[in-house]
Amino acid sequence: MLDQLHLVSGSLFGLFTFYNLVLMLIGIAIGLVFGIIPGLSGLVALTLMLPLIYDMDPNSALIFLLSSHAVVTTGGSISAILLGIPGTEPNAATIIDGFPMTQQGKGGRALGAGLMASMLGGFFGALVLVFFIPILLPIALAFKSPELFLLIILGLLCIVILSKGHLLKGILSGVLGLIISFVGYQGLTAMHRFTFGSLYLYDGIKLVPLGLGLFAIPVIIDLTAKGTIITDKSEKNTVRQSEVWEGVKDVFRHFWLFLRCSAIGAWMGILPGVGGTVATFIAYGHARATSKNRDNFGNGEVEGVIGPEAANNSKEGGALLPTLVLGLPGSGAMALLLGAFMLVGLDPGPLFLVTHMDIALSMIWTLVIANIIAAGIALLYCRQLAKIAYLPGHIVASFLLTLVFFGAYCSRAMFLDIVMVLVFGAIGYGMRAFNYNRPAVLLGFILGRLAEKYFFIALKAHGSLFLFSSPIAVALDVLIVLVLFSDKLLDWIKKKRRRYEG
Amino acid sequence: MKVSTVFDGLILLVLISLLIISKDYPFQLKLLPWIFIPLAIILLSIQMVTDLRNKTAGTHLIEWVKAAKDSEGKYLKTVLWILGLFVFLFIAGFMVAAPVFTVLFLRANGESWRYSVCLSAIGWGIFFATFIYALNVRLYEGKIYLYLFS
Repeated sequence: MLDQLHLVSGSLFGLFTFYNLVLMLIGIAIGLVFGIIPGLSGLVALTLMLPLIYDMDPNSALIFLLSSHAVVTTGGSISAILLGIPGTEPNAATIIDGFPMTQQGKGGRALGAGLMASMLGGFFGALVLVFFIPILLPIALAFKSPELFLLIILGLLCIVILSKGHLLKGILSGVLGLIISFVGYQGLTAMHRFTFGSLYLYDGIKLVPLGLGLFAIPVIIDLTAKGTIITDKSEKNTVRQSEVWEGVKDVFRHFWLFLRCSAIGAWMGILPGVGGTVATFIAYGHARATSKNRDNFGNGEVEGVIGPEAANNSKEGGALLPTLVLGLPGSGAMALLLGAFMLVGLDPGPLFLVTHMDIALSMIWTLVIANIIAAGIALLYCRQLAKIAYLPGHIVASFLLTLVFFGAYCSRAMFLDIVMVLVFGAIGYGMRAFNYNRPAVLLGFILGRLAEKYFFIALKAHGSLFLFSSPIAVALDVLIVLVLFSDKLLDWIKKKRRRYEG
Repeated sequence: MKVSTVFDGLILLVLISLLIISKDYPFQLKLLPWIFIPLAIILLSIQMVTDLRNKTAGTHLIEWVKAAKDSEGKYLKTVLWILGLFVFLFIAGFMVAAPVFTVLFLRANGESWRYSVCLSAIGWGIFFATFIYALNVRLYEGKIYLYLFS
């Protein structure tokens, strides 16, 4: 018990070194700015930050990345409430009631409620992590190579199937990511694949140029070609500080709603592929369905702000759970975070928590503290911060483009990495235009190498029937089949029910 | 022909080439590629056939070219700027290319000379001070520098 307390307090004090605090503040600033500017997302922020972590120790690197990722949606809520434009996709649900409140001159109250719900939501997500890690860890440790291989396949399937609308392209994207991961040296045979005699490709395609190309280049092209998204500066975004505190109090007046919506967000975060947008809209729907003022929803109801904002930030804690415990990322951002684990020499998976519990605890503390600092900054400077969203697209793009090239180069000091950014930029642009699932490509790429490793270890240890080598493996097989045919199964159940009712 | 079909077709070509290249690899090296590449080819073929059969959805190549013209070539210009920066970086390195590109890019997008130069100087001044002097990050110096000083 004393040891555990020592570990928890040690990881907290480790966070308060000057170096880590500076990194956290830089991360928070980047997260807030990328959240506020519509069109830039947390994924773009993470890909731009990845090259900077090469020389950092693992703990500092993850503090840097996570502090940014944890607060992106907090920044997004400022533009959603004050300008009526979602800074990030999941903030879309906040607009429904947040922006009408601003139009009625109650922007400060909406902002206070939204930011407080965001902060406490982040705190709730961290609590979920603390509570579930000890429960899930023994189960995760029972997973051997066959189960881990099946888990990766299951994770990939969940994500592509839950990518709404374009199932075929979702699966295809995941598979393409896997194929990209095959390029380069294969440890098992000590031979190279698909390198075309190029020394550059011997080491495989790297995460940084792939991520920057797939996500940042399409954003830059759109920012420049379309210009700024916000052209109408006449909207009133007047915020009175007294109103802000009224909004803060609103969260405590509706604390039970906040708790329920945070739980929804955390649960949605745990499920692979569901995503923040679904979580916030479900939370909004729940807030509306259970409210006494449901008729006022859509016209500026503060509960309609608290619900989605609580879910928005609590989902990050939930999403970290499968990433930390199983090494299975549930979203593109978590896949990048998992990639960052590998970049700084950490081996993700169940053993990570046994060997690096201090880093895991430090990540949980980062979630809590980053959310508190970000909400504090946003509450004090919301009016000034909202002006960032008015920055013309070409000004943002001019710096962003050079930073993308800089990031690609400085990760390994290889000019060919910039060429790869351009190649993947073209592919990423096409993929976005034709509804491919780019996060699934990233996920396939990051999990591809792990899948191959576990596949061959399992094959060696358990023979060709490794897919049925244990009860857990069989259960995962069944789950994979269920997920694969979930659409058909649901249709069949609906048809049967209709026939029965008819 | 639809634009998406052209894009899918290009991916299909790459996948088929990879499959042909990997046929001489040892068993363990080609096992997973030979599971996943054919799977991708099948999925892509289904996608292309579905796209071709659905005549109403998607943009045709001719319409796409017309839309690109209607947007006053903004997308094409942006791509050319990106490629221009790449070539400029290759020749002149980050220290020269980054600030000069920013000034030219802002000027081309309607900002005044004074504003463009000031913004670029402040932005890159802070950036280079942080990364080169504080963090000792080594930047790509460009072919001209390497030719003159190495």
